[in-house]
Amino acid sequence: MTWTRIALTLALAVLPGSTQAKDSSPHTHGAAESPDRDRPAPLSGQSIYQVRTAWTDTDAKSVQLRSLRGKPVALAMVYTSCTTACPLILADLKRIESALSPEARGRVWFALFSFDSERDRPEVLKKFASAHDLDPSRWRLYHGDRAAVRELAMVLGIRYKRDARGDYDHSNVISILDPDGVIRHQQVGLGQEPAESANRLESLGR
Amino acid sequence: MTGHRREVLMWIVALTLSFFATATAAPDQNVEEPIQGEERAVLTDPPTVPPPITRKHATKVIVRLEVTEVEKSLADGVRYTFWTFGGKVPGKFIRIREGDLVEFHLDNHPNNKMPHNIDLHAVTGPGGGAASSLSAPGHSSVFSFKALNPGLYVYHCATAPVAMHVANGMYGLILVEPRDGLPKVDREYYVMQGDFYTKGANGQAGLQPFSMVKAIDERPDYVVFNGAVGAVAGDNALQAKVGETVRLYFGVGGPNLTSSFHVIGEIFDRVWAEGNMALVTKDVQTTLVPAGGAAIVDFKVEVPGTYILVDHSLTRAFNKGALGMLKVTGAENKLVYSGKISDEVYLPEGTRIRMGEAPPGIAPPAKTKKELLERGKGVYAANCAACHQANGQGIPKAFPPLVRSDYLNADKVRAIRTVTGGLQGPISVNGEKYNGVMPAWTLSDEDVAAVLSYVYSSWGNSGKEVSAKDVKTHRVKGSSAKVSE
Amino acid sequence: MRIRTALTAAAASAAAVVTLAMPVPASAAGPDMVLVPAGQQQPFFVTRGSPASASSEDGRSPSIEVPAFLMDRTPVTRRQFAEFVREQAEWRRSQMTPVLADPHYLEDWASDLGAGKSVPADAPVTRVSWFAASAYCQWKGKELPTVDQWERAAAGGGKDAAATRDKILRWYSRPGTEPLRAVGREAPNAYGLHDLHGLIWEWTLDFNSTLVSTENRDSGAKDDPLFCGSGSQGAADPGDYATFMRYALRNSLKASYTTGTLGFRCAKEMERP
Repeated sequence: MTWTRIALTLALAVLPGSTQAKDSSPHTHGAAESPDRDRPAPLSGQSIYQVRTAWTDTDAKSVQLRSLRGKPVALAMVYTSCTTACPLILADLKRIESALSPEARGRVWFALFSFDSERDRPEVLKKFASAHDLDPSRWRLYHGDRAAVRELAMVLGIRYKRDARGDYDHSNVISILDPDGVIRHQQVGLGQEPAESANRLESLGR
Repeated sequence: MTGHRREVLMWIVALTLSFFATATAAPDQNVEEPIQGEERAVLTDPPTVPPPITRKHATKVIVRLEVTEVEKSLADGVRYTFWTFGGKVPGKFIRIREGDLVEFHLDNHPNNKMPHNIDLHAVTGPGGGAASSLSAPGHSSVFSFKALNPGLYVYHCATAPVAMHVANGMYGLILVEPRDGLPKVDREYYVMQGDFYTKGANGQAGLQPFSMVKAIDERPDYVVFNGAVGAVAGDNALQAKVGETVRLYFGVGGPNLTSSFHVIGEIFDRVWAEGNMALVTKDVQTTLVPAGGAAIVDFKVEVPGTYILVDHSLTRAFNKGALGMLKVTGAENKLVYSGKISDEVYLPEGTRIRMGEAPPGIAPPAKTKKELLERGKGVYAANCAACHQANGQGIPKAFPPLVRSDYLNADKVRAIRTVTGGLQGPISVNGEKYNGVMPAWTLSDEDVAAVLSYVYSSWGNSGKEVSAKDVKTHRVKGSSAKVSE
Repeated sequence: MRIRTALTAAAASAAAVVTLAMPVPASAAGPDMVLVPAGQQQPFFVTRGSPASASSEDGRSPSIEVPAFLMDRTPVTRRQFAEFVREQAEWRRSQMTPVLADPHYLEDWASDLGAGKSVPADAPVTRVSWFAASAYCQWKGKELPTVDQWERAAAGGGKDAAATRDKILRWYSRPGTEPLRAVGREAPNAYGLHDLHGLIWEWTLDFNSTLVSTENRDSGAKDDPLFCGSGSQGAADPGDYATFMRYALRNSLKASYTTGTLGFRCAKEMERP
């Protein structure tokens, strides 16, 4: 039953324009069940990767959140047409990136997930990434359907609301995850000093 | 200017500047003040407060406040669901020192239904902590703040709708002691006023829900100290001994009303109005404490008795419960307060003569001595007992006794003249001096005879008998024998 | 009543057709659901800068249009949730992980599979997190109602507004440990929905959308207008303490939280988004 669901979910997710298809069992958590292929150890009960919503990366490939497993992650939720907070979140992430030592920089993910299911399609995200000089070797940008966006925001504790114009009011949080997907630190608010987040990423990567 | 003099001048300037800097820059100084050590705050239930701070340095203080929603008595027969910081209204008293770093834990008990947070007026920061402490039932929030300003501050829940949370009792006081502490007193107490709004009228029994309409209209049913009618009265009264200095940390939680705080029978020797530590006012009768504000009042109790704490908006005190008590025991001090000295008959100017009243029942003349004495007893009761008392004891220093009265027994004629003509000026009776006014009584000869005979035959007196003929002979010239029927 | 049943049936078939494309077991909206017709709903808080905040002709903030939808007649019961965990093992108490529910998840149940007899089986299920509630609704081919849908349903078309507020304030006055009664025993509201007030708090799909900062430049937490006087700014009716409290509760929650007085019911949209 479970495998059928996963197979069908992936099938649906890959279909073009199928963003309205509700995920079959987005909450299925396999902490005790199936070990990940990449790492033999099962996921910790605190890992957000238990939430198995599917996302699409900038190459239009469908991936699970847990594909980030294995390296520490600096993660934020934004949207590209946001003219107020999101450029500042991005700037804060870049400050964290610069604050890292060169070796640490090579060992972490910087992941951006868009609130905007309608407008921030993979190709839009791809243009955004190159427009902002985001190094593709460590920056990942993701598009998800409304259910995926909601799930991720829930698990990160992020508040948001879509207004009538299609813009998003949202709380500004940068989450630092360990290689297993456990939230280790959250940088709340804009314009914060990068030191603490950078230090966390450094030590988590070792 | 020589180098030496310049140096001296620079020292003077530097010292002067640093003096002014320390004198005026207290909050900035408190930001910088280093923290030594860590301790868990001692929190107390009203009306007690934790002991004064003795340490001379700033420290890290850990405060844990637990919110519980409890049903308790608001007044006789009236129950209410209070939302509390620590189980009581007002909430726990927190006592820290300026410069302290407070690590604040707000715990929302899992049995609660509502979300809660806290705004401490001592906090410099968004929402006074409210922005960082919203907790769902079964959850806890932690934040920390530095106490930058000394003073007595209100804290309260600030979850929307705020007025309802506060109206349900979610307030308390936090004292940030100044660097060198407060002047020492013998007793310290914690009292907080609040207004309560119930669906039913004042006094209506049973579990009363909150009335939003009355709260918005500011029409409370109860205005009380420490969360209930009588919470600081009767058996719960505050205590002190004569000669002690008493300090009240008084706050107003509101949500709406301001208090005109007064202690009946006392004057506040010192008031730190609005809880500030910089300015003391002296000799204050009633101090205005705003909603969401506080005051510290000190006074010395000199005389025993029960002192009533009130909100001097009087119908709140007497009809809604804003009344508390401080019971002071110890030796009397008649110089400061004598108590009632005398209970006198008041004779307006020009009235030296009183119309006597004839007693009902026995008409004159009495035929036997028994009848005479009975009539005399009646006349006495109707006319003389008011001053000389029913037992003839009189009132010390005011009305002479008739019991074994040397003055009376010495001279029967004088007695007749006293009753019929009045008496004033100093006299001595049984060794005590009296200097009052006794009016002339308009009574018939028979009645004067009867009352004097009665007095003479009572209370260990000489037993003489006085006849109507005696009275007629010896009554004061010009006195009237007309009797009112 | 007949029209409503017909509409419900029509909606159910429409839903069934649509959900056949989904791999979840499609359970048609049956007599356990009620139609809440399309209509205007005055949002309680209005975000500055959004079109909704511009004054309308009469000076009041314009209301929003909530399309027709189906809603569960009553909150989900312990009996119903027990069926769910029997079939979906990963939602049993022993399988639960901290990310998806806090340690109080189904804490008062007798066992993994059964709620036990201490509370009526038809009492609403509580001590469930948003993730669990959401999973249940999805399992039923439904979804948690949005805040707008829930508030619209709860307003009951505006009938008996004062009496409803009183009822809510009375419920706020009663202790959180009061034993839960079975659902559906009290009179329904104008739409035919039971127990929206006076029994439990209810999860909504986007509970985390309330009180987001009106100023995007700063963190949502810091400018949260739910504190002190600023709580009533931007509220359509600052005198409506009953509703204020509901928003405050939503604002205090995270998706993994559970409480003894927080349950849920499900809803279903009439047309696909």
